Amino acid sequence: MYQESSLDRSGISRHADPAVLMRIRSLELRVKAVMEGFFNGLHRSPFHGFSVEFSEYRQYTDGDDPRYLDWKVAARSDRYYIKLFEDETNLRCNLMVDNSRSMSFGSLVYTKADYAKTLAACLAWALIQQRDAAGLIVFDEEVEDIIPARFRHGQLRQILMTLEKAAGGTSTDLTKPLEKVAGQVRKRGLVVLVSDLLASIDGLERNLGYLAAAGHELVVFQILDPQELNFEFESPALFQDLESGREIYVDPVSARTQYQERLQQHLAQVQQTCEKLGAIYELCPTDRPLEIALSEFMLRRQRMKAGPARIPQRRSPAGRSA
Amino acid sequence: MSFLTPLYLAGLAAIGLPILFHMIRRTPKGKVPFSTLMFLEASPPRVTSRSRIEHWLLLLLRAAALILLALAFSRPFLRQSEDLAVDSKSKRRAILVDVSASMRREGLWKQACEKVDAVLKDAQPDDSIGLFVFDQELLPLLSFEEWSGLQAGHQSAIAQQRLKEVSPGWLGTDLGTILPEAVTTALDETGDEAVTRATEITVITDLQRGSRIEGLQTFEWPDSVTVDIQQVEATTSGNASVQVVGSLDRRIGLRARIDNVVDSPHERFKVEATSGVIQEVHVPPEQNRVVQFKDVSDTSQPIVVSLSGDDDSFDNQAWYVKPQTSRVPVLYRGDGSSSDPNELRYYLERAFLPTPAREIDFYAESDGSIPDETWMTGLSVVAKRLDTEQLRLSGKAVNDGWTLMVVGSSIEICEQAFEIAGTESPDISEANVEGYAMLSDVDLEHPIFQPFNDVRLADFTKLPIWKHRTIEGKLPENARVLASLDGRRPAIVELPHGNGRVLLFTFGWHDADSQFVLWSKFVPLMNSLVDDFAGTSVEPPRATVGDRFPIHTLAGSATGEMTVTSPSGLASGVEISPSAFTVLTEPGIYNFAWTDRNGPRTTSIAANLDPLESRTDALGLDEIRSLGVPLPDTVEARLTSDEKRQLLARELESRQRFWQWVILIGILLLLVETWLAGHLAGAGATTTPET
Repeated sequence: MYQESSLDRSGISRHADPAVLMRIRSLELRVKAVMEGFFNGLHRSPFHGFSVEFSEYRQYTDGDDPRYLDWKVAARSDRYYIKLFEDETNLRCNLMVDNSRSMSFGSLVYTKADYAKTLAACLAWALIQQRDAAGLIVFDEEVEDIIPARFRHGQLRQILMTLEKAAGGTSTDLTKPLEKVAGQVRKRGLVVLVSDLLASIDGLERNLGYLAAAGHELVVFQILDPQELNFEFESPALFQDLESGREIYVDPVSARTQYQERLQQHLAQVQQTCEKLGAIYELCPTDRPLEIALSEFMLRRQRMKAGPARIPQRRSPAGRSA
Repeated sequence: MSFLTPLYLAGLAAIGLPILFHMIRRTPKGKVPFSTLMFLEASPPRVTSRSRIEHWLLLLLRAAALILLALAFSRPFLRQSEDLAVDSKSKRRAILVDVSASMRREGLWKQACEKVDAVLKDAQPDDSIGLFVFDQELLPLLSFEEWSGLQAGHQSAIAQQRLKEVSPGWLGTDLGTILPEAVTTALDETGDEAVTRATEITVITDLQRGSRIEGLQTFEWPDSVTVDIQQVEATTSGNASVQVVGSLDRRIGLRARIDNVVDSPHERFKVEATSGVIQEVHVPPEQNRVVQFKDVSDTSQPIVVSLSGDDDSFDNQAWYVKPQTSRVPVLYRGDGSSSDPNELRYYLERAFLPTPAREIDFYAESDGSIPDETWMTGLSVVAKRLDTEQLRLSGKAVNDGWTLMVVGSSIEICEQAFEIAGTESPDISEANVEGYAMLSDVDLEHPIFQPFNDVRLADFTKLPIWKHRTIEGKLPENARVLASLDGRRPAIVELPHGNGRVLLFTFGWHDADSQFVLWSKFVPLMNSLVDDFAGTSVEPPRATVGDRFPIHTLAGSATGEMTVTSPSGLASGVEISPSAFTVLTEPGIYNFAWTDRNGPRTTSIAANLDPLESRTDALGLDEIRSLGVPLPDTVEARLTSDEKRQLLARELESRQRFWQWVILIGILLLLVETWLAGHLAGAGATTTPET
């Protein structure tokens, strides 16, 4: 079980118990339950979101798109002016949620997938609340669903609905989804990967590397069940791989030490990779309150000096950069 | 209940396994789904012992399945008394002993007799046995009937006694004919019993390569017959043989071929012809060489070619008799000179060619050198009108044996033929030929057309006949039409008269009538006529030991008795008739003496060994088996009685095939077990919560 102290002096947890939280069926309500309390204590938005800002006028010349004519100015001044804008400077965040079959494991009353979805939903909620663009990529071996990062009405609802879909994926393979994201998400922003990362990490460094090289800020939430971390099974049994269906006979008592060694080795490798790429790595055991996971992430992010470069770009109506 | 492979019953011990597995087994029940096995390795099973059996029925089913499996593998069968009696059932045994020339080799006959003794000794009291000897023919020494008629106990002794009276002869081996004949003989004598009684043909032979086994390929062996070939093995392995090749020639002398067998240790041999000149010859194994004896070219005496230097001497001599050259007079009664190509004589004179067997004396009436037809016989060709005296003389000559050919270039000449033959001439007229006529309906069975009796040669359409005579009336009864012209008008008619015959050609041979003399078949036809008349063929008669030599080929039309003297000096008299023959039983020179109208005559022929008999390298039994001969397994043949009992047990088992049923029941039990185990496991799974 998660041992980190989350109790206040009175001994009462400040955070919603995940087990209780997960009983809330509606993901939207669940998110609200988490996030409303969460933002109460925060003084500053963790996200850097800004509104669209007017830049300057330019006289209309033949060939300019008439859509960008400022009619009010024309009515006023009887001159034709074209509006020029600062590029959108809102944060674009793509949430990549692992929906593979291994995520359906859970020794608690909820699964890793429930936890991951709630986490992703919380992040989406927070982003949308800040008028930032949030997108969602649900994947297993392949990309299952993709909602491009936008800020518009109904975006959050769409993300939540997509997340609520049942976990029906197959095995975990980060390579293809990451490649796809690297290929599709051109504009720099935040990429949040929510996965158990219980797969070979051979391609992880390379593909996360692409994203980092493209200027994305990377955040990795590794969701693990307490049983996965501690392997506290007692009786020998046939262990069945949820993804491949392979079965082996394991005596947990004798296998525990070796399991933990290997797991730690794997986690260390993942962490090492993330650090190498400047990604924020957050290990989230599912018995840990979501608020803690989120706040830790926020704190770390705020601490990080080098965020993704957000150089304002000027966009002209004719697509010409000023 | 007996078991064919009782050792498999040890597998019954395996019933302990289900009990063991039941008592000591893996603890886990059910499965634990886990997100990944990448950090896990299969653990060795932890066993715990249990002191009580939980599923008795399951255990019993598994044990029963294993018991049945062990039983099936041990091949159970029931020993039934009537089945066991098969072995003791009496058989018919035909014992065939090879007495061919190759059995003359050292030690073979002794071995053969010993083997016969052994077979007789092995025989069951109820067995019906027939003892035969064979080479090219099958001869019974003791038939089945005779065996059955003899007093028990004396049968073997009599068979052995009969065998002692024979010894290998000089004939070749013909297993291809003998074995089927023996089977037929054995089955014939078996009668109704054949259905139930097994017949065994025991062949005691050296099984040399020249045994003519090819004939066995087509024989359909009855199911009840088995063949046991008991091979006698020669102590020697290097045999070479000698044969005379071709005929004696003035230029090249006599040629003899030396054959050496496979694996012969000898390669150098000495060959000697009658003259005493010895030649050395080098013949590697499985090869042959031909040597020439030029010094014997002039001799008219029988020649013996002897070989030395090999192990076996039975085939080391070859005999040759130079055929007697007969002189055949050909008398031409017609016009023309021998140097004028426009004349018939020019072609006729050149048509007759001498052969080693006969030479031609050509006489032309126009030369004035006609021999006296009364003291000899020959052929005459009449191509002109004869006067009355000539007709009379010709008629007499034909009656004495002459063959007279009448070239019917006119109606008158044609009518002469009938006159010479002493019959009344039918109406003959000049034919009205449109274009040309061709020969048809040629009697290819007649000796003079025999050489053309082949599809490649029987084309007679290349002879255009522009003019010919038509015989309108009825031919004499004894006349034979040898060839016809278009419209079935006779072209060549044979009119027998006395000892001779008249051949009437209804067309001229030359010039205006036809191109008979220029026809490609003219020369062969003339020579065929001579050979038919003189009884000679181009090839001298080659006789092999074992041949039935037709004596009329020597005696021709002579009658009376012919004295045949064999090489060993045994003389016998044979009445001369077209069907009379003498069997050549030994190699060497056979002398024939008889009397014809010209007085006493003698001739000799050389009888040589069958060349195949010299191929003494032994055949393998597999080669015989490959021809479909029902040989028992060679392993089986050498089995002891215990092994035979085992074999019988195997046969019984294979007939009963209980194991199939046992396996079937086993499978059914396993199915029930699988269902039960699944059912129990399912019930267990519902009660056991997952970890």
